[in-house]
Amino acid sequence: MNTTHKTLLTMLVFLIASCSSVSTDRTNDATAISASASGAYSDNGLTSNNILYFAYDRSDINSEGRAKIRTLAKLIKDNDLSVRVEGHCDERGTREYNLALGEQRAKTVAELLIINGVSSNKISTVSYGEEKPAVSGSNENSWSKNRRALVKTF
Amino acid sequence: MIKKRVFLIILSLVFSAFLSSQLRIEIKGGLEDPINIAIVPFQWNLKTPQQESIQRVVQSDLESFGEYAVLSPENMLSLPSRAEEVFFKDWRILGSDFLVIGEVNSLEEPTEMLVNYLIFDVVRERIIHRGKVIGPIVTQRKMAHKISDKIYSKTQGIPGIFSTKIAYIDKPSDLNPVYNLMISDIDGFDSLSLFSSPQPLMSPSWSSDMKKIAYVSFEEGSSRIYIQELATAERIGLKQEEGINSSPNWSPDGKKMSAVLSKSGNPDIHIYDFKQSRWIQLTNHFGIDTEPDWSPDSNKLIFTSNRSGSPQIYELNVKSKKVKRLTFEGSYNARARYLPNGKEIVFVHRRNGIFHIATQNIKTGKIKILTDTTLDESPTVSPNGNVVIYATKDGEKDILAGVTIDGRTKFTMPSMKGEAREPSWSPLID
Amino acid sequence: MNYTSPLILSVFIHLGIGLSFSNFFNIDFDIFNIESAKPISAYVIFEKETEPKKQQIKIPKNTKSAEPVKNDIKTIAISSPDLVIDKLQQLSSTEAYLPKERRNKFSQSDIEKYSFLIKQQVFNNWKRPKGSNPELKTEIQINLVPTGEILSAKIIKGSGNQVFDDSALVAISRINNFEGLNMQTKLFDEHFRTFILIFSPN
Repeated sequence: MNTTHKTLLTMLVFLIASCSSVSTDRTNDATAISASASGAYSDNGLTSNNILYFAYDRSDINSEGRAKIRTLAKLIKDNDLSVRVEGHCDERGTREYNLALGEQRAKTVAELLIINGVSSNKISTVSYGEEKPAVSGSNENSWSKNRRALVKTF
Repeated sequence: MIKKRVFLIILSLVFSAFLSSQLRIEIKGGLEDPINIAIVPFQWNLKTPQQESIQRVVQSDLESFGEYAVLSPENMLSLPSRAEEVFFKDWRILGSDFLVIGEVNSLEEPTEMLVNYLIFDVVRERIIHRGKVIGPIVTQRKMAHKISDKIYSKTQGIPGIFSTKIAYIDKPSDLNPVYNLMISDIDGFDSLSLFSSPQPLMSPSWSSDMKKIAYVSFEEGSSRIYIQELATAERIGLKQEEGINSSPNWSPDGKKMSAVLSKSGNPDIHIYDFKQSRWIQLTNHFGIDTEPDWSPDSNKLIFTSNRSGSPQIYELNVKSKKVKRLTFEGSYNARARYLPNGKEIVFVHRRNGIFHIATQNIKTGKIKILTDTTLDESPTVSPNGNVVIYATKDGEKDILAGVTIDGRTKFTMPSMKGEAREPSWSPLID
Repeated sequence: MNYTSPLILSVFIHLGIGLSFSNFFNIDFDIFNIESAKPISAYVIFEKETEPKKQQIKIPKNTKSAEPVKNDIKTIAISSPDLVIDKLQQLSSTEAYLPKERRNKFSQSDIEKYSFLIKQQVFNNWKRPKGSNPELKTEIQINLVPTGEILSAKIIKGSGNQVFDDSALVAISRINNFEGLNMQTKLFDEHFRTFILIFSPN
């Protein structure tokens, strides 16, 4: 690089150095605070826990399931029991969508109970989506055991 | 006669302009190679001994996404800490594109420190930034992250995200049989449990001022949305309705919260009006409508719906309530999130039975699959639009993994404590 | 002292110097260059015939397309050496047959060839920053000397993103001197002494 280049370059450097940006940042020691809950959905007074299974992505019940529900409905009416139907899914797919799918499963069972004569004010439904699996494992064997509705009578 | 002459003059002018137009050569693309950067260990001028190395934190930050090749200090020919000590030849020889030097000095307040740093363009031999960070000595990592952010924005042209946080849910383990709502730095450090419960937690969502997190808790038996203030741990539960109360999502302008309620009989998208303390229904369809996300301008919502038979992504104009379907490829597209530019979405896309994370250009409909892991879910995008973090499985274990938006760099985040799921990237704070 | 002869000599010397500076004595070698833009008369030489026939190859006046005019060699009925036929074929494919308006332009392929060399060298030295919104465009005017050395690089149209603009300037600073740009002076002056580089992410 000859001298003219050098002088030009130094001039340029000075010019541009004055255009470089400057900043000041500040940090502080603030952190977030924790909280906790200790509540639980009670299974007190549980008289029976019945399980119905579903196909992947489906919320319809097969004939075997329907038969089971018919028997259950009679049991519930005869003993004036309360029912809670919990809908569950396997881990595949997104969590919120599975929460909705679990609800569909629980509602399908609840509707069948009502058709079979159980009073609707005795039935409550809840969905846990994929949040409370029965078994762990990422294979069809485990998944099939998690796609379920639990009919809990009290 | 005159007309003809004028015409000829104009013609020749146009013609000569055409002849004398300059050659224009287009350079499209350029190299996507990592930027070579050297970060000289900062000179420590404090009396208290140095516990952390700012240089190491900055190096680790910049190397996170394969975008920088950071020169190891043992390969450096000199260790300048001031501008006058810099010989550009020393760095050009090592192939560095940029150089960062700095020093740490004490302040009047003995618990505080001042970091001065300089960023140099080695090729053109000029300073491109002079920076200062001031703060308590215990916040050294934070200060280093701020420096990383500045280096990133000055060399990449987009904001750095090293000062941002990830919120996620930690699954119960034998040792710790509770669900935890966690927040931590992007590098997994400084993790903290904001809320713990024996019942499931889901769907954390940051407010745009980063002061609050909304989430779903099953502590009362069924799903309910809570809003917790980070500074005070105060929690408020939104009015619980019959059925599902979930998928809270804060609008970027901070005024509204979208969520999913199934009180009408099936899950629909609702908005919570904070002023009137009531829910307003937005979609009314007998199928499943869920997983809403606000557009950056707060005018639209994308959501998942199975109204066509299987889950697909739809876009809703909040004012007109008009709904438009966005995804047409594949039979399962769900949990979409807008990219900060509002032009693309990232979502869960099932192909051949495998759940991937993919992006789609809203206008063109072109899909790009980003991940080669399976059972992917819950994508969340960095506020600079450059990185996606999502939940997936490593064998039996729930882990968080990530990929840059161009798909080129993939990584996992094993430093997250416990088994992590449902990551949510915080906004940028100034 | 006779001043006339030295005076006359001096006048002639000065005249000679002056004229040589004004290109009076320049020989335009281009007329002998086979790739010259000017049309040249060609002569066909016969090996066996008693007298060589001078035959001008006709140049059609109104060719609108840039396609070379094909010479119907067969009708000339010669048994000349292959070399002559080769030369004829060469001639027919040169720009000699371009219509008048295009005779002073260089072949598109030449411009493309050197543009490509420049493109390649810039591309290999340009590290594109992340924040590259696909619509960004930076236009930089480059001034070269015939050796390929970059005299100056000036941003004539910024992209609005300083980091992106800077990355383009860094690429050019890295190059300093383009390689392989050994072309005709005319081509250089007309197209490569000053040109514009447009940087875009896509």
